Parts: sequence; C-alpha cells; structure tokens
Amino acid sequence: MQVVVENLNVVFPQPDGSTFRAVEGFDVQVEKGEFITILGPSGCGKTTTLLVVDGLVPPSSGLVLIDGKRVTGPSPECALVFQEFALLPWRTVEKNVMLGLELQRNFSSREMKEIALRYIDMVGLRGFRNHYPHQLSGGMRQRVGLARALAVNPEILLMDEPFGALDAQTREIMSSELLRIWEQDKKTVLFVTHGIDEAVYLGDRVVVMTGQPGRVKEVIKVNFSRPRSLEIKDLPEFVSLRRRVWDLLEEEVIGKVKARSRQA
Amino acid sequence: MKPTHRKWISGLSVLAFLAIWEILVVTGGVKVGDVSRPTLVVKSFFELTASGEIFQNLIISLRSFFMGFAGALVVGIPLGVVVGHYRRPALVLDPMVMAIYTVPRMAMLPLLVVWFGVGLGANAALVFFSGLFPIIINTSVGIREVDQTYVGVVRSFGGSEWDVWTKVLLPGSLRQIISGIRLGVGRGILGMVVGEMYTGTEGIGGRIRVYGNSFRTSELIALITIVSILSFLMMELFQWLERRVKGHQAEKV
Repeated sequence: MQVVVENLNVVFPQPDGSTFRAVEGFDVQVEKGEFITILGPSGCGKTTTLLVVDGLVPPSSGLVLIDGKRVTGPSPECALVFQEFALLPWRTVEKNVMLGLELQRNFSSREMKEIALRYIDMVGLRGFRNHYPHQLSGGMRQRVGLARALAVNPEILLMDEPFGALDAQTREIMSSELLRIWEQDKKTVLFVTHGIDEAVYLGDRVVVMTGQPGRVKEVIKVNFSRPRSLEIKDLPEFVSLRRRVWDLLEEEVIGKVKARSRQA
Repeated sequence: MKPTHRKWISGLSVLAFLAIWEILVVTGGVKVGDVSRPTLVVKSFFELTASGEIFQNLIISLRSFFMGFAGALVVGIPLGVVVGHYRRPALVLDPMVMAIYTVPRMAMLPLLVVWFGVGLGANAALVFFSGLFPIIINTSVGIREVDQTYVGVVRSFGGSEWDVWTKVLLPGSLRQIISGIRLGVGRGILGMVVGEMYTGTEGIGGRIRVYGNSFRTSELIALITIVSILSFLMMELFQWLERRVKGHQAEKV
C-alpha cells in the first residue's frame, strides 16, 4: 500500500471556543498507480483529508502513511493541484511550472527550463510558455497547474476539485486529458470532487463520503477497462453505476437539508 | 481620437493659455497687482539659472529630500512588511502608526526644528515623516492582500518561510509598495518645500519665501514651476515602474 489513512480525525478549534469536526474516522488504502476519487457533498472534509495527506494540515488523531512512513509535513512524494489553479500571476507559464523545481533546489536553471518545457508540452501548451496566467482561459490555467505539479515528478498526485472552477464542456475535455496524461506513467492519484460523473469516469475506486463530519460512507469499485474514452459515459453500466452513487449521495444531501430545516 | 491628436490638443491648450495670459497683461486687460507674465517668468528663470541660484538651492533641497526619503524607505518598507504580515506586532504598531499619521505633518515642524536643528536636520526629518506613512500603509496593505493560496502553493512544494517571502509575499506586493513610494515622493516634496519656507532662506522653498516677501512674482513663478516639474518627473518615473509591474498581475488568477 502506498498511501494508508487510518482512523483519521481532524478537528478545528473555533474562535468561540467550540470545535469543528471536519473529518471523523476516515480510512482509505491506496495502491501504487491507483486512481482514487473522493466524492462527497460540499463541506464534507474532502479537501481537508487531501491537505492532511499532503502534510499541510496536521491530523488531530489517526495515522497517515506514505510508503510506510508517517507524514509530518509537505514531502516531495506528493504534489497538489489546486481548485482555483493558484498560479502566481506575476510569473509566466514557464516560470510557474518551474516553481516546484526552484523550491527543491536540485536543478540548474537550464535543467529546470528543460523539465518545464517537457511538461508544458505534455499538457498541450507549447507556444504559451511566455504567456502570463491572465492571458489564458480557465482550462489552460489548470493545464499549467497540472504541469506544475507533474514537473516535480511526484509519486502521488493530489487533486483538489481541480476542474471545479471550469465550465461543463472544458471540464469534460480536461478530465479525458487528465486520463491521457495519467496513462503515460500511472502515478497514484487522489482526486477530490463533488461531480458524480467525473468521479465514476476517472476513478478505479470512488470513495463516497458523508457530510459533516466527513466519514467514508462506501467505497465503490469501477471496473471499466482503461484507457477510457468519454463514450463510456453512455454505456448502461456507467449510467447504473452513476445512479447508485447518486443514491448514496442523495441521502447525504437530503439528510443535511432536513437537519437544517429542523434547526430552523 | 488618435493618441497623437490628443497630445497635440493638450499641448496647444497650454500654449493658448500662456498666450492669452501674456496678451491680457501686456494690453492692460488685467489689473491685479503684479501678476507677471510668461515672458518675464522665462526671463527670470534664465537669470536665476545663469547666476547659479537655482542650481545651488536645488542641490540643498534635494540633499534634504534624499536624506529624509532614504530614511523613509529604510524604515517604512520593513515596518509595513511587519505590520502587514505579523498579527501581534500589527496590534502593537497599528494604533501608533495611525496616531502619528493623523497629525498634520506641517504641525510637527517646530518640534522637528527643536530636535534636529534648523536647516538640513529639520528639513530632512520633515521629508522623512511626510514620506513615511504612505509607504508603511501601502506596504502593509500590499502584503496583507497577497492571496494566501499562493502561500499554500509554496508550502505544499516544501518551501520554507524564506521561500514564502521571496517567491510570494514580496513579488505579490511589489506593485502596491511602489505605489506607496510614489505617494510618499509627492508628500516628501511637499514637506521639503514647506520645511524650507518655514525655516530659512536656503533651498528652493527658502527662495520661494524670499521672493514672495519682496513681491517678485516672476522669480516666484519660475521657482514654483521648478518644484512642479521636479515632482512631475518623480511621479512619472514611479508611475512607469508601477505600470511595468502591474502588467504582470492585471488580475487575480
């Protein structure tokens, strides 16, 4: 097992003295090269879980292991792709992709440039390396975000609703692009989303979470062969799987609405 | 309208204004004391230049300006950075900065004279206090407004505190810092002139007072023009710098 999360609890103290339980008893085990999607209603602690694996948020209790070692802080094994792209606006595409390499301080500037170019090519942005982020469309910006994460050659790619800020069509294209790139060296991926379609289309397994506090409700195996094309979304198997996931999620969302209306 | 056309129109309107001024005074259309006229102003400008008066006093003025303003940069930027980034020092410093900020700088002048002595000391100190606050305030706002997500990016790649500063906080607030410096320059020049007018007969401000007291309006207008050209050039310089930086961060991405 490459990533092991066992009985993870994350509690945030609130300014008024109370505590907010973001994640409760979360378990997951991920094999090397596996594509895991984590699906849940918004505010269910998916992102928090991802940040704990990345080492940016310390767990309140529980165990997080990568390659058998306890996670104590950000490590070069993981790279994070952000929902809002988080490209530095004062850097060109090339310089943004180089950021992680600069921070590792293992390469000469010529090597960094070469590596950056290779990944800019891979995400299909050849010819845009001297553009600034504000000159690019949303989809192109997230391609840069992906290239930046891949450039440090991580073993594990953590993606925090990476296509959440994109329009529907761009989102579809980006998810099939992501699979194309992923097929090349099959890194381990933890992909957080609230899109059911996306979760089923991308993942080897879909981890469905409950809302507040976040727990694992069910893990669903997705058996479509790879490489997958966007056409599989029309298969009856896909439709029924999506239905099943939707039913699981619906209980959560409706449960939440009911709880809220009781409060009111 | 083409930009070149616009420039022509602006230039012509200034020329027209000067021409009308000249004509009204020469033909006796205006009867208010000694308003002088453009040709006399130009004449006294050349006289003042030839005698070396402008050059000497400009040196005196600029010396106190640069001394004071260098101090404002050296103190203002780090202080702004600290106030902008660290919560505890901000709690301690913010009220003090605001308290001193609300005091009209010119009212501090007599005190500065007592503390630093007439002339260079007091004038440089006034420039310092005039330029300091726009720099502190803009720097701290610039640092505070840097998107925290960018800090998260650097940390997630294993970046240190130093990396956070050099890769995100400073480049991210550069535009705002420059705009603080630009505002500070304007205030600093104001402080320079007022300080000199109040405390002596040297420097451009001192000369303005001397000629003002003896109603020599042509020299007076010539000197005022020099001050305004000086601040105009400084402002242009920093506006140009600001635009260059701004181009890279037109919007939050």
